[in-house]
Amino acid sequence: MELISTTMGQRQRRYRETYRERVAGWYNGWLHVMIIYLAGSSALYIYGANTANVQWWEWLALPFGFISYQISEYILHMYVMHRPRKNVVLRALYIRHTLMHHQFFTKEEMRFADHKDWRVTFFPPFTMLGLTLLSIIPSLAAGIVISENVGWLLMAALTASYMFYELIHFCCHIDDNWLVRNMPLINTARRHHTAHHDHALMMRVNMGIGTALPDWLMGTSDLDCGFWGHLFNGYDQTHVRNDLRRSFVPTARASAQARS
Amino acid sequence: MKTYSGDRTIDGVIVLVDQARLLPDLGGAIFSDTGFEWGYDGPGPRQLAYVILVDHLGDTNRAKVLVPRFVEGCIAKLDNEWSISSVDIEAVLKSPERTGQRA
Repeated sequence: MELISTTMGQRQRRYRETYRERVAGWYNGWLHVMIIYLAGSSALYIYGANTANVQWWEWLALPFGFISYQISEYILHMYVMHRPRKNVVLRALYIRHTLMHHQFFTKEEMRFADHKDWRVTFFPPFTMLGLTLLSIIPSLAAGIVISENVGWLLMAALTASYMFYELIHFCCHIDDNWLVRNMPLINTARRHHTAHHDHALMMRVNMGIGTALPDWLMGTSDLDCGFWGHLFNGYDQTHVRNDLRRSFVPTARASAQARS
Repeated sequence: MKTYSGDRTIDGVIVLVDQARLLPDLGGAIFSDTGFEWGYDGPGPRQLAYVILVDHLGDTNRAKVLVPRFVEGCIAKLDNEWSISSVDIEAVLKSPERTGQRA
């Protein structure tokens, strides 16, 4: 199944066909999403049930966890998913992302054709387990050093941040509609992520997905504006930098351009 | 005149010279042992620049010296799939060096 009305080129169309041929026939996107969100919701329930008499300052673990997750996601995206590494697991992430996700979706065509295409966007279901195991280390430390509540809230923040990431990334690859066009954060993420799928920019620019703020902090955003602009830019193209695309022009073509 | 081309495929990154596979360790894995990449400055792009220059110049020492200039002038600007000729390489190596680009 492929989109009927599309501006994608032949290369992308062929890639999508090849990818779909290799995806197991039993794959079901709805089941994939259900596993992720059921596991996440169950974990959040358990973490919440273990908190008691939360002090006002202990709630700060939530924004702290969210910000930590955004920074970690940026680092993983920039330095692992777009950079080949020797480690088998890290290399698999690079292959799945740069060689699959970015070839399947380009700025010319960012949309899924149906739920079977979700496989090339959502992380595998076991990611939630891996994230939970990784979250235990800082959360346990916070639980021992600061308070039990802070430990549980940190676990909750990291799990919820991953669920938020998957939701935002999913929304970046669905058809345009009134809701995603007008929903704050989601509309900003959609423009930001579409620019990231520009092949001339994808290895350097717009690595934040959940929010564009890490790109603003690290100077890797395609926008020339401040904190609030990066949070609520929406689809606006006014502040897009025009000095980022630096595609190499072969000599013969450059000469021809100079002559004309 | 030789033609070099590269593509990111579902089976991996492929770089060809006149339709033959260009091996990532030609002249030694000096900058990276994880293969080729392009579109930015880093170990993978530097290794690609080095191997292309070794193949083009036939001189590993000169290739190593010219890597930063070739990365900045060409490899870091390459698109997802690309094709360059020996003439392009010479043009980049003869062009004046520039530094200090954002992102």
